[in-house]
Amino acid sequence: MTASEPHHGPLVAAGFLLGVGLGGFVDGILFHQILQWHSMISSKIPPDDLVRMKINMLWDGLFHAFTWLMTVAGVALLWRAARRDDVPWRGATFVGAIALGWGLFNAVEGIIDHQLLGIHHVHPGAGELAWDLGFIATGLVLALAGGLAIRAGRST
Amino acid sequence: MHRVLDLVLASCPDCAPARATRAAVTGDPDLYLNLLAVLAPFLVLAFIAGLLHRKSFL
Repeated sequence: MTASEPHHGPLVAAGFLLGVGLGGFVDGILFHQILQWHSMISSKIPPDDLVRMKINMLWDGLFHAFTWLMTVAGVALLWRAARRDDVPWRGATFVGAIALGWGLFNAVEGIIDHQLLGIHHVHPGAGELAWDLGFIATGLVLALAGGLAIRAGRST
Repeated sequence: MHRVLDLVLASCPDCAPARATRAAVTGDPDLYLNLLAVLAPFLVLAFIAGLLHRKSFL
């Protein structure tokens, strides 16, 4: 590899982790706290009294802690990428990587936690499966859009 | 994990909800399964980020 060869990976990885973090925070803030559709293990321990709610809050807190770590790692990678001369600084690459991370967060979290482990569902009750599949599908669409944006950034 | 719980609940050690929560969580046979469930998506995504950093596939 020559010194002038562009290396997109560091900026893509930074945006990807920031997308994972931002997607996780939107999930936690919107679905867990504002709408209160579900909590982290609400399908195993329904939060129907204070004690059960506190147990779910503990697991929600750990979820947010891991989300925070992803965000910090993304900021650290972005800082390192910004100091490298071989990393092209392109908005399409960075925004696309954020969308890719956010979308894959929804897809991976949806497949593992909703479908495989069943610890919670997006909107429990009637139409539960449709909500879960819709969540995964929107994640995949967002990830695809992000991937296309990254490709567009490479070709400019 | 239990030590963290103790620290969290130390602010209200004698509250009935705190005692009940500690008993429920530490007595939960699925404690580590729950931890793995919460952590698993982040491990998968961190692995993908590592691949993207080494070589962009897109």
